[in-house]
Amino acid sequence: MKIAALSLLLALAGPALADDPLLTVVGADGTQTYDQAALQAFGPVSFATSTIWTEGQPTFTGVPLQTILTDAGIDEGTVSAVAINDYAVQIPVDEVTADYPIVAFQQDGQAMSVRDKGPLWVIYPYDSDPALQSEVTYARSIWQLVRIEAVR
Amino acid sequence: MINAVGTDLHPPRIARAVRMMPAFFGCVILALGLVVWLLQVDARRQIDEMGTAATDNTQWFLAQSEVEVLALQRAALLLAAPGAGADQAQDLRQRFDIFYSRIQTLQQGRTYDHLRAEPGISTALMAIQSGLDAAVPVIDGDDAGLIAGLPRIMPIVDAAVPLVRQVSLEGVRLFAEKSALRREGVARALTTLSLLVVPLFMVLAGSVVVLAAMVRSAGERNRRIAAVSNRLNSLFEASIDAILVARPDGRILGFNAAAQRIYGYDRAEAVGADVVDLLTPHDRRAKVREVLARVRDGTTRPRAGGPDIMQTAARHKSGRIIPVELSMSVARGEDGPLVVAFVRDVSRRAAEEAELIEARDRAVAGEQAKTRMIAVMSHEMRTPLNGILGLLDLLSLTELDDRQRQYVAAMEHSGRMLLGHVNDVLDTSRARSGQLVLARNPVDLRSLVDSAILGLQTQAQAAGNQLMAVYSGDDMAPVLGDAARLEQIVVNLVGNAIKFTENGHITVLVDTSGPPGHVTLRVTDTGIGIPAGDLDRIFDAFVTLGSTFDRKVEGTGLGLSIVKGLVDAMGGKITVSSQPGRGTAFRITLPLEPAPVAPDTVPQQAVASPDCPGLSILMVEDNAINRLVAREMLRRQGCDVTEAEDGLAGVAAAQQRRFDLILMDISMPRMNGIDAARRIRAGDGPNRDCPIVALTAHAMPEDLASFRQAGMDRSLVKPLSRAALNALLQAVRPAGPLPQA
Repeated sequence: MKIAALSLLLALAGPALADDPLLTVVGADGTQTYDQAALQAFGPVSFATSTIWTEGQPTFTGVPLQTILTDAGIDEGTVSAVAINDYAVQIPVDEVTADYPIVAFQQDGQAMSVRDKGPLWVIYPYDSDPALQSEVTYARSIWQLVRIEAVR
Repeated sequence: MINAVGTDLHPPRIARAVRMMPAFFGCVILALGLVVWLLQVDARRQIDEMGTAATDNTQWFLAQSEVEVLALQRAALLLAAPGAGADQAQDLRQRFDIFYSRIQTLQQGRTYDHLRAEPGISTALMAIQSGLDAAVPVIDGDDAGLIAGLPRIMPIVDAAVPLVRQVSLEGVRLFAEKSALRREGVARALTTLSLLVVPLFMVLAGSVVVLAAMVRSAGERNRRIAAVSNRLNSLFEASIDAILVARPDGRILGFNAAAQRIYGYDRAEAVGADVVDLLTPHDRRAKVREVLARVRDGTTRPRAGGPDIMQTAARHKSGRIIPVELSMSVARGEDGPLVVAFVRDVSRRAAEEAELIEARDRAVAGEQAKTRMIAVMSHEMRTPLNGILGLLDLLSLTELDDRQRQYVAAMEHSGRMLLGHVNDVLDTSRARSGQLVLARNPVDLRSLVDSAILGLQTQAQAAGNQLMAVYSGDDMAPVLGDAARLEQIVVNLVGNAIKFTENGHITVLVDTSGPPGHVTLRVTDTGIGIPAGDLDRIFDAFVTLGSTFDRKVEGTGLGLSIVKGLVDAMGGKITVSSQPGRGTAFRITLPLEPAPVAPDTVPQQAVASPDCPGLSILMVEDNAINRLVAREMLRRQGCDVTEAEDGLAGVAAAQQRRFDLILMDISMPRMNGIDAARRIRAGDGPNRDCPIVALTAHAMPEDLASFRQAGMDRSLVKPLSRAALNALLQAVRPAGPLPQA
């Protein structure tokens, strides 16, 4: 217990290690965790978009949320995305498309720290469609994402 | 086309306004609609703006930032507490990072640009940021360093709490103002929109009212048109005349009830059929086709004063040809001209006309037969009458005592009167049948009138009347005319005046003072006069007004009729004016040309020339009594008379020996006088050059010409009078020198 705590402490204290689990997904079949390598393995996609929270038009790189959900066996209902500070938002699965949102883990090619709303940030390509510039979409753009749970 | 039907048209200006109204309303509605659409787009945009979260839930974010700073403060406090270890340190680090990321977001996020524009907020954020940046080395250090650095971190966090509070409150105020402004904008847009909707609605309502009015007026017009159409239809059906409506190609479109009656075809049979094939007689088809072609080409011109009425014929279903009257006009149809024909069956009228003509022909034929009969009868009566008068003449020459002489005179008077009547009738019938032919010889009017009056004096004096002639006009030159007829006019008028006048005056006025070639003759009396009502009919034949008076009037009633006939034949005019009880005046104007030469005044030798040295005379005459009379007269003159009873016998006798004179009757059995005379003249007998005198009962001028052609130089009118016979003998004797004494 102490060792585990220590290792966690170490992990958080220093730069994130490649094999540290970044995301926990709780589906009907059980719980899946994904580290940097696992996310990379999904075949990340990139797009550039401005956001209301950042300056300029950064390029975000990440895995489409749908890919992760499918991998976790979630294909219906609603999921609850939870942030590091326990901020949570509900996302209906059928509103998740193959292209977006993505679970971004890089901004302009750099891994994102917690101070930069990392390490995982749900991002939509806001610039590509005015329909995405809505309150609902902004609310679902959860940063410092750590956990996704299927809602019963 | 029919004004009487009462389709009233709006005056042009109003009509144009009415026509323009939909366009006007359309434009107004379009303009208002455009404005409303622009406004609603604006409102939509504003409402959308409220909906889009360009702003995110900023207030929540600011409040959350306060929560995060308090969580950071608490984590720092927990780490400062005794017994705190690595977990609390880790917790502090995480809280620091979370708060840091929030401040970063507030510093950099596009949503918070306007927040940062507030100097207070911007300063506060910068102060927090510099504090956090100062704390970073400590936070990123190891746990021991972190714990050791807590006293430095704590004031930074404590200082951040009121600053975040300040940012939060300031932000809330700003956002409240902004949303108030936005709401105001939306409200303004909606108000403008609603204000514009009101006129739009009013315009729409107005156009609905106008449309309703137009619909009503259209309905009214439709009703009126229906009424007119109904009226026209009943006119069409009620017409006594057939009405046909056809296209120029001959196709029948309309066929009314009268047409069905006249032509015998049902409407179903006729409509759609060809007007020429069905209803037109063969001999008129080409002409009708021609008319239709003219209508099709539009070369028929409407006639002034309406269409012509044509007399033509139509064909009944049974093939019977019906005489009809037709009037045609051309109407404008929906697709080209239409022929409208009104057809009237005139077969009854045609039949009536034919009947009338027949009746007239019968009447004319009857009249002619009557006239002819009268003429023949008169002629037949005259022959025996001539015999009687001739014999009476002879009888008066014999030895008679006074009583016998008296009787003979009375008989002769009666006979002459009877002869006069017969002659009157004959003249009348001749005048009626237009057989009156007038001679044109020089006439001395003065001597003619004088001699006529002289002959009537006795009669006038018998009634106690004074009869006189008055001549007006200095020139009493001879004129060209028929002396006998002129004398007859005078005698008849004077005779008539004598009949109705007792102890009065009768005046004959001859006036030649007018324009040359015109003679006025007036006969006035002071007799009983003629009632005004009878003036019209006194010139009719067989009218004797005397019967209405006490006085018995002699005569056939033909006198005035004959005068009228003669005057008409001469081209003159006769008028009468009368006052009952005062007298009557007849006025005759005659166109009589002046004679070119002096009248042939053959000195009338004294009748008395009893001596007629034995002329040998051949007398050809079929009537035994006439022969007797003539023979006795001639023998008394000392002539030697040979008789022949017809033309053939006369020619034979003329062949035997030479005569000094041949008297030739005209109408005879076996051979008439004309043929006989021609044969004597053409032959080589002894009498080839002998004077032949025609004896005729009807001395018509045209007859005289044919006598002359046959070689008869002279003529004597029967009955022969001794005076005329003596004159003839006197004339003949010096003409032909006698070969033997």
